[in-house]
Amino acid sequence: MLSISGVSRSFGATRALDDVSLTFPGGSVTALLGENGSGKSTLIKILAGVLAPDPGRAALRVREAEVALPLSPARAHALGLRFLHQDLGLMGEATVADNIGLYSGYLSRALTPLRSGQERRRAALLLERFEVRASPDDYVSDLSLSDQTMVAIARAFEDADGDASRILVLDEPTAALPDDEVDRVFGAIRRARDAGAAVILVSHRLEEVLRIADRVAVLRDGRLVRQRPVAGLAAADLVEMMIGKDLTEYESTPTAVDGLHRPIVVGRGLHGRRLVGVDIEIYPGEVLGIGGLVGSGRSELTRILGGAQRPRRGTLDVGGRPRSYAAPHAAVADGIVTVPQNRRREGVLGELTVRENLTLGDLRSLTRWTMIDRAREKAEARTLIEQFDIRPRELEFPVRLLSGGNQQKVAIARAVRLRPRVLVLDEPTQGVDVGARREVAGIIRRLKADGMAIVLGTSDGDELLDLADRALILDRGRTRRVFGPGELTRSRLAHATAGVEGRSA
Amino acid sequence: MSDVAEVDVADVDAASAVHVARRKERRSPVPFAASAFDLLTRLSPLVLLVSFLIVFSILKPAQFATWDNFSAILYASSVSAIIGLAMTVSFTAGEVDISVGAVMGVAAMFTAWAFGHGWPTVAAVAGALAVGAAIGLVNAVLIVVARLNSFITTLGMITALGGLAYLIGDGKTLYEGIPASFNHLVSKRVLDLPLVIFYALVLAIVLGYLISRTPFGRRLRATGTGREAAALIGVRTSRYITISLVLGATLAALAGVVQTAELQSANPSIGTDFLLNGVAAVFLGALVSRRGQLNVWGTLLAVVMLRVGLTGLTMVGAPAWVPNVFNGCALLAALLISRAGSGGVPAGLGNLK
Repeated sequence: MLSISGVSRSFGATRALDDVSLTFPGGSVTALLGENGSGKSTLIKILAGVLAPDPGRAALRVREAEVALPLSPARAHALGLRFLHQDLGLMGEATVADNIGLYSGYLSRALTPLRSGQERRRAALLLERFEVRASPDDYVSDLSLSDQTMVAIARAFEDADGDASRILVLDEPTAALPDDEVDRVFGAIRRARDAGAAVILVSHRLEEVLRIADRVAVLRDGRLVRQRPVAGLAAADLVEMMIGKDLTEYESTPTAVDGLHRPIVVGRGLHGRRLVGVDIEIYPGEVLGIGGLVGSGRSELTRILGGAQRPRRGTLDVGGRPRSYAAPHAAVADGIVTVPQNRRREGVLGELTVRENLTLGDLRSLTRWTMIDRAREKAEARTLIEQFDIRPRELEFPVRLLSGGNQQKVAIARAVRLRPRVLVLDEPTQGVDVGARREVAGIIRRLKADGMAIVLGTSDGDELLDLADRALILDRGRTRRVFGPGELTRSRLAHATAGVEGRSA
Repeated sequence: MSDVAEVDVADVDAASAVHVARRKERRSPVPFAASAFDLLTRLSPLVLLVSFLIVFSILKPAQFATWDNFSAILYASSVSAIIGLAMTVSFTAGEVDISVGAVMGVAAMFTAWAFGHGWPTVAAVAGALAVGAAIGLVNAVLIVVARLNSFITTLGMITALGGLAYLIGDGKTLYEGIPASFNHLVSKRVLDLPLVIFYALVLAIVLGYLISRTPFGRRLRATGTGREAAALIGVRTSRYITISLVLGATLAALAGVVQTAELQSANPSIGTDFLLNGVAAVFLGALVSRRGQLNVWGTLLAVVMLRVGLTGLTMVGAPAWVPNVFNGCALLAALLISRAGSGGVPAGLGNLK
């Protein structure tokens, strides 16, 4: 069993975890629930020893013994904690056997010969027990995502049956798995629990939580809302706990999709690394939301629309003509401009100034002969700074010194300067504060009113409800649900995202 | 509720169908052309070596195709081999230590200086190795603790160490007090081959064992190819980076000691020629392995191959600028071949991309 008390963690001004105390008893499965940004990942990282809690009265007890914080990954391992991280924690350029050896310890000491035969047999046994379709000598990067997940799961569960002191932390173990493998994982979870291990399960799929968990602990905005046994709860109750009592429905916004307009973009049967046969239409003057968890294919769909990735199969028609973009600039030429998810890496160029960032997308129109017309460039940049309310109102300010929200406004302003017909935004408000969120929402509404089509990829339900006229909810690469104009409500969305049908939907 | 269940079943079927298809895709044999190309890539250093041997034997049969020349080539390869091995160690941990040539220069000067001041052989050698280890430790502190980029850090170190090598001998070549017995340690012939060849060979065997046959080596490689994942699952990556930098610099110092023994003198500019040769050998050597991983035996093969090429070119009367062009082109060729072979940067090089 493991318990924490008084754990807080801040990132700058935001408190990701606020004085959380929780107990995870042995011999039971505790589901850790909460919406995105509720603090689950932060808590898991603290347990894994990769994040330190804020100094203060944070305390950790493992099997009744006080343990000093912060942990290190090696210390966590020694305490019997085993993790399935969301990005799996596997090394692609090492074999399956080595990934197991690196994690669980090799059978020989550091400088003595590897007992390759024994290591391989141990790995083979483990893979066989979990029916993983991989052999010990396979390189992990050659495996499919679901096989990789199974390798990571098998590794986390090694010896869990015979060891009551194990604490298993599983972060979205089923996100990439087909249902038959989900059953196998659940079998393993039950066996470990019956052997006395404490299992901490993070899952967005509430029907799975109801099937496997004994207890639930719900986080909201970094605080513990509730911990209690699962018995007697229904999916709708869990949703209510996660999103709070405040079930006010957002007014659904009027839409321009009225049958009079033709879609600008029509995608049919789009396949990708994650996507499996997704259809999409984008109309002028609407905000089309694309919802879904990490790994659902949401980002991939925005990348395909923006020309950053070619679909493996399926057709994309833009303005009635079939298109296959080799690179984003080809999509831009068709009027589809993307503001990518990873702001720091792909969205803005931190070392350049606000002016340089704003005008970078189209310098040709500013160029006379071979020289950039500085006066015109400045004038255009100043107009954009005013229009998008970028602060500070400084042309020559390096973008890396702006707040996240203002960086995002720079990225959107630059995209809008290209006068797109379709503006594709992937997680536009990730990691920005509440005020900036509202501003970005305002910008989106304004652009929509001007007749622009906006594709809004987001894992944030509130954002979808607030802004989207229609929405496509993806799950494991497939369309889970399509919401037409006026159909999007808070409870329907929560149920669709969690993979259950609502009782009153 | 019932139609929901039906949807789910359809989902399962489709999902597992995709899954099976994906598995088949992976399991299906690689097309012949691709596997032949892959094989050619892996054999390319060996093919080059054999071609050099044949071509130069035909062009200069009396000079090139002799035991003496064979022995001389291996003798000349030994120091390059030790430098190449030193680089293989740090590169395996994902850090680009380009200061090994400069460390070698300082160690060579230090050895000569120590003899000049009457140090016994054991003390001179141990002192030089300790200097190397200390420089490696400084690199490690800058890279691991201060989190500086290893390439830039060791680039700065090259210039600083160049100055240090100059300081030790006041800019002069040092040769006084180096006993003939010191030279015998490397040039004494066993099986009609100079002893230093066996040193390089033993070193390669030990490092080959450490890197590819022990848990230590697996953790070292994990640190180089997937550092974040490695740290997340409990590999002490900082420790492995430190060890690799200190070990690499110590080996570089050993190369300097050997160089002084071979020449019975040392000058401050020793070592600069070895850097590029070493980098080229490391990357050419990586071609040999199935997944483009750095490896000791590939490095060794590439060192010998490059030396054979250089010797042959010199014998057929190539002018003085040719060796530099040859080494530079070899490095670029290695990178191009591995990129063509893997459709990208060799996967096994991890952090180095």
